[in-house]
Amino acid sequence: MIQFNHVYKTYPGPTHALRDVSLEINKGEFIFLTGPSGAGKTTLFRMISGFDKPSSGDVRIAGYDLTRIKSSEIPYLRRKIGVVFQDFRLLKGRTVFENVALPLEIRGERPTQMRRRVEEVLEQVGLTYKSSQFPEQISGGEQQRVAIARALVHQPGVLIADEPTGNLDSALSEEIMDLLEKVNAQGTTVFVATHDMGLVKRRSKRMIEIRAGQVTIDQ
Amino acid sequence: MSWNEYLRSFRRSWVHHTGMQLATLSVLAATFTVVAFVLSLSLNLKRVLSHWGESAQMSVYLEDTIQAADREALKAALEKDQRIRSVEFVGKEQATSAFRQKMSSYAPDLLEDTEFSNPFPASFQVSLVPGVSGDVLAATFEAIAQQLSAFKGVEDVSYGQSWVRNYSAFVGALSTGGWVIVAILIAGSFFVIGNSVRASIAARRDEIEILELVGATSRMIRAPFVFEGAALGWLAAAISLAINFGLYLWEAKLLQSSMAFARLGSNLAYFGVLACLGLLFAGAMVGALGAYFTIRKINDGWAASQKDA
Ligand SMILES: Nc1ncnc2c1ncn2[C@@H]1O[C@H](COP(=O)(O)OP(=O)(O)OP(=O)(O)O)[C@@H](O)[C@H]1O
Ligand SMILES: [Mg+2]
Repeated sequence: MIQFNHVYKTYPGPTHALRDVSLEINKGEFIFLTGPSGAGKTTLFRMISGFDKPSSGDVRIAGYDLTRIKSSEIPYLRRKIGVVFQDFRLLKGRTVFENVALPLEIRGERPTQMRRRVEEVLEQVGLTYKSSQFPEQISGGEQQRVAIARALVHQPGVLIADEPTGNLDSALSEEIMDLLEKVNAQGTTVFVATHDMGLVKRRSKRMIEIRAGQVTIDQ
Repeated sequence: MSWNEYLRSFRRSWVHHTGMQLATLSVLAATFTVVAFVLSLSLNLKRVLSHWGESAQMSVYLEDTIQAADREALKAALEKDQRIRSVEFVGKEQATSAFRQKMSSYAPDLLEDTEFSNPFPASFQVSLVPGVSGDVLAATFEAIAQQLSAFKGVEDVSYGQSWVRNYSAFVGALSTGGWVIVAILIAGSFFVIGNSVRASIAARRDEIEILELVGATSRMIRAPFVFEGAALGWLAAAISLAINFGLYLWEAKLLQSSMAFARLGSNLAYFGVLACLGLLFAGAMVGALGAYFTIRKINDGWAASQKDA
């Protein structure tokens, strides 16, 4: 599903954001990515979602080789994954329903099928009753659930979430994690970055830790 | 995405940057007004000038000793020529009496003077088909004269060589100058549109990033901005056509009342329907291309949101 082979990423400066990172993530896994601030977690996720190229080494995502991918193929790579960020990134001018529908709309899905699927996934994240509200009218936890619904609506093989609970209190964080586990139980590979170690410890999942751009723990 | 979405996004740009959009539209409309004015000016000058050009004639003078057969061959050759509208033979006697008629007021005796020997050669008076563009008039006459020199019995060819040459050069310079001005103004329009679209892009950075994130193709991301540019260009062209139509009405009135002697009023024309549609289309194209080149620099598939507009 996701494969990193001796990957380096150097930003001008130079900042060595990733150094010799090798890892393999298989279908159906649930993995935590941890590490202190500035360790390179976001850099790794940006690569997975096709927002950055490795400086050297191999990255393979869902059948695409990131070192060879044509820029016109990147949108199609992104359609195979779902991405969730700490800051939700919802469109302000669109309702919850319209935000969740966006990935399907982009694919040119037919309205009736789109409606059915969006309702299904809103039900899954427990937000059916908020579907005609705007992002500013709902709470942070709800916004994050909308973002998760949007990342899942097109049934991607992988869901990556960069600090999805960073802006939420601990009760809400647990709720979001439960939701992600539920998603994983249905077959989606889930890859979550967090530096909330308590959250990681309470769930016995594979954990990869990076420090200063290098993998220090993978268990 | 649908036309509806494009319109919605265009409207949003207006709501969020009314000032910027209004400024862009005004500058563009002013620029296009000048462009359309230059075009209509050159259209009208061309009409007036080719009107004058049509009256230009060519005289093919014949030797007194020309054989009838040679004369007929020459006449046939002239009549066959596609560029020539009419060929009129003026005999020696005719030329003389025409001259006497013309001179009668200055020298009334000339009409009675039987001693007056006939110095005038016979000639063919040749006029060109209408619509020979002014800037090639000289070249056309020259080419015909060149061909005639091969015929037997042709003494001289005259078409007011220097006048025609000057006239052709003038018309040529005029249209070149017009096109240079138009080209400069259109190049400027690209920048004006590009700037405006850049502002819209900057304001919608987050939205672009989200669209990228969920797998929108470059085309989907670019389309609303290209549409915005096209809409601005189209609107500006429409405004400029309206302003120029007003100018045209005013000029026509002016020419009719105060400059009637020049008899230009009846020659004044405005763009036809097709030309108007063409100009609207051209305005939209300038807008679309200006926007396209701006957004293309930013959105190359990787991360539009990261790049500086
Ligand atoms: N666009 C960039 N240009 C230059 N340096 C960058 C860029 N993006 C990230 N970096 C640097 O790369 C390193 C890794 O950053 P990254 O954002 O991946 O860390 P992180 O693990 O996600 O941290 P956090 O937990 O704070 O989110 C940092 O030193 C950061 O300053
Ligand atoms: Mg980060």
